Amino acid sequence: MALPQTAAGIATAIASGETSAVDICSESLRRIESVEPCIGALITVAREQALLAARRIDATPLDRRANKPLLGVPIVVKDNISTRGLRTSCGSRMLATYEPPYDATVISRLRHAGAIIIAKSNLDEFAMGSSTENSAFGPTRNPWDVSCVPGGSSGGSAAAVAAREVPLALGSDTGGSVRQPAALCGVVGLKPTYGRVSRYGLVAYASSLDQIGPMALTVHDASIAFEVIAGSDPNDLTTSAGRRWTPSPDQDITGLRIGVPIEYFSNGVDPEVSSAVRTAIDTLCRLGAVAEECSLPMTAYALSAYYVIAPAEASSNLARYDGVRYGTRPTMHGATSGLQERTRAAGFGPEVMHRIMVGTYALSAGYYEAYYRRALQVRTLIQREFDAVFERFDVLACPSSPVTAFKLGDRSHDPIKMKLADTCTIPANLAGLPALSLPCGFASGLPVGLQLIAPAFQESRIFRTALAYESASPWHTYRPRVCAE
Amino acid sequence: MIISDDDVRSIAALARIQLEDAEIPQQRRHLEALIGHLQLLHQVDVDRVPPSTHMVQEGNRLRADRPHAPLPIDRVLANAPDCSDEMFLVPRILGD
Repeated sequence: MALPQTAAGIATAIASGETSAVDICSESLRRIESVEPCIGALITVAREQALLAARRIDATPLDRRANKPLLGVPIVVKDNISTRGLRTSCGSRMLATYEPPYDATVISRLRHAGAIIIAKSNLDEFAMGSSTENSAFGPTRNPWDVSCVPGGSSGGSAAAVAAREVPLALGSDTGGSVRQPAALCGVVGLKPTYGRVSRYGLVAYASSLDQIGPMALTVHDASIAFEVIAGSDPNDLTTSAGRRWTPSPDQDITGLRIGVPIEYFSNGVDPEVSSAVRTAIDTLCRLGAVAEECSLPMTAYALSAYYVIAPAEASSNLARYDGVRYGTRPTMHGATSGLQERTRAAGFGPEVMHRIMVGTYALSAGYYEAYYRRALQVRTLIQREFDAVFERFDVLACPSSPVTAFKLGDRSHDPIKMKLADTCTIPANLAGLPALSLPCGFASGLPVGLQLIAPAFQESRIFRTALAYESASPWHTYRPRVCAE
Repeated sequence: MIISDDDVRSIAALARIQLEDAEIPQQRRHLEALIGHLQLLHQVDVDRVPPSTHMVQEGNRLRADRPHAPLPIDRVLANAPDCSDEMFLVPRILGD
């Protein structure tokens, strides 16, 4: 009998006793063993812990398996999310052997829902990058074409789902790090509203922008994982206390007003990407939605605002890596000074050092007003522009990435070109809005992502639209032929 | 945007990062390229626009001030580069 492929199917089959958790877990481990040599999506595989958790589930009586929406589902977690006793390296030499003493809130919630943490996934070091090439553990490759990057920084999570190593993964999204790799790998990825999901236990990059989000093969699976991880948390007081989210299978988008922001289809957007996204919008209109072009002129300044705010916050957040409490410490050879400086030079890779330097510059005396304060003011204007456009539209639809997956090494020596990969995703982070990428076709054989953006705390609108599109399109059923398959 | 090697050394010192002389030109080029790009921000009229200092609109929240058990010391020290007698050890900071 074939094993179920989706998280929803797996949880249902295990809850009813139709399938064993050990069989599912073993199948996932076999798949990991088979494709990892060419994909390199994972940093640590928790084989024994995963099988132990699976055996425990199988030993649970059937009448005590209810209300576990992810029962026995193998999940890959980005390696910047703390997992107790399981290495959390952030893709950095600095934390190459670090084992957190506690679980992140999202991990506690996943475990409570029955999920099995099977592996930790590769990422750009400390989530800084758009290609998963900046990792101390080597690059990850795109399952659709192993000469290409999977996007980043959650490229390991996206590639693991796309290569069918697992049906579900967690990523984190500061400037597009869930949605851009989801688009480039042909999977679904959600960045929730800022404040919807607890950041407790997420290794901080830019605290005012970071959000943890699910990545999955189907919209339904992403919504189940989102329901599990969302909610108020006393350990993260930026989580919203009063706003609950209730999932709905509703796919009716009759009369839905879709805004199509013209700036997301202009400079630097691959015409084939643009065409695939416009065709997807036409499909949504055939399903009853009404689409109209709109304009968000402040989009032109979003990348610049982001590259002040995010590095500024990073320069503060990463000050904790000082060689005292955790992480790498170089040999001091009797020196009595320079512990912090030597530790950081030895532990951080070039991109992380570079962003810390930019952030330090932007916050330093004489430049604070010119860069940091001004970037925060521009963020206000971007937020106001979204507020105004959402008075006319229910959701916005646009590309998730201006291009499809690019070749490894193609952009790594051009910092500005690499950063342009995030132009379609950064604005939603700056405005704190929910946004989802889902597959909407192919360009030159590589996946294209449709991005849906909604007002804050309106994830239900995004899921309704995405479910409607997915049910009318075949893209989520396509799978890459990985390695020698 | 012109940034000098001394600017780079000064920023590195503030960031507590030891840079070798050979690394400075590349860091300078990176900084010049990105900070040059950031000049776009100066095209925006931000007069009387408040900075977005908070991402949450619900105001400050405080959790209940209740004592709870901290993490066990051995688990906290397990990742320390060096420790002894329930303390983190650092290299001596005073000479002989």
